[in-house]
Amino acid sequence: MGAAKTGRDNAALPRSWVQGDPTAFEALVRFWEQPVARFLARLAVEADQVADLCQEVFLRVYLARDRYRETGAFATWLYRIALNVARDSARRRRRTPGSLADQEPASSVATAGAASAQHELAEAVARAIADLPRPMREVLVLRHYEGMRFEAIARLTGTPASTLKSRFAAALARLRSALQAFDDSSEEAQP
Amino acid sequence: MNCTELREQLPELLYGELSPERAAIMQQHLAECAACRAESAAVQRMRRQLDAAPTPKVHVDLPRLYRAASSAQEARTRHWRRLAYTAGGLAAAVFLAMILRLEIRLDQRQIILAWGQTAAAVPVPERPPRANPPLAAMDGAKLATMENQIHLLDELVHALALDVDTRDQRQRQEIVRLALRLQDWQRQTASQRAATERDLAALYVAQFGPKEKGAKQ
Repeated sequence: MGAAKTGRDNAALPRSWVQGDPTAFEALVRFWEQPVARFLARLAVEADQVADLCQEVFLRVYLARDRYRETGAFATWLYRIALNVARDSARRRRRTPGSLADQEPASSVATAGAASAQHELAEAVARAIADLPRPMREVLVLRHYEGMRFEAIARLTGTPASTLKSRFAAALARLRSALQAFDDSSEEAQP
Repeated sequence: MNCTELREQLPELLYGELSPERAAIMQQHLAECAACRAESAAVQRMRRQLDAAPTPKVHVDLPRLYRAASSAQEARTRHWRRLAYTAGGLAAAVFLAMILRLEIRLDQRQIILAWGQTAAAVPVPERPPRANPPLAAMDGAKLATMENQIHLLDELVHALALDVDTRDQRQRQEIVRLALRLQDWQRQTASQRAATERDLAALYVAQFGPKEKGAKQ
């Protein structure tokens, strides 16, 4: 569940940080480091680069304190920085499929067989998302995983909301096609 | 509403992006159309599959971040200082050239450098007419304009130097603050380690009793 989905954009912490409170910055980092890491990972950043890029995001946030304006949500500003870091990384490196070695599946399963199927599904989902064109991947990650509404994504990316909705629908259609095998197997499992 | 319209807007319906009125119309169609209901169910299953993607665990290293921030701010200070020195150097060169009434010109494969009174031209056949008159021949109004410009340049250099000093001071304060924060981190870590060692020693004594001096193991 993205932090934006739950509406926990605490306005007091960014304000305290801008006024020079170092503990407020540290609290912001601890609150947002997992959502930012998840966001970067799902933008198909290589798995071993997520930690470094997350570090880069918060370094840029720290150095840009004087430029932060409280007119918009802190989350939007933060995700804009994270998006730029991810795009810069993609430009510097050729994308390679990430490994799941340092990552945990979203749900744990009791039996070995079910765990293997869950792992296969997790890998298939990661690859299907990574295979999407970048614009579709970005809107998918921001809408589905981070819970941002299309109007907020439009402000973040500078793309009209109608275009984002079309991209999102196209992304879902592609993913559904890529994950069709798993949907068939789950349908067969139902009585 | 027909099935094509519904399927085009199905993602917006499932993600709560539609107005209540529009959503109600679509729900009405879903209640009446088995095919669209099946389509909706398939998209919802896929949404659940998307949540199977792995979630990385990350812990931002704050001391490393503060050190990187300190380095970045030092680099910025050096950049502004270089800029100010370059501007100051250029302004000083222009000022010197004006004071000495320095004249540098290229004239048919010769570089002529003269100061003070205008030097006599080297006799070269077919010398082209000069576009700009030598400084010594400028009238008082133009000279006054140039002196104003020099004065403005001088003020700019002073303003830049003051700005560099201010930024420098601010950066130093920030670096000191970061250093204090790092020391605070280190003190906390040392304090926690000492507390843990005391707890372990107490647990040992509680479990095994106090060690006796010279007692054999």
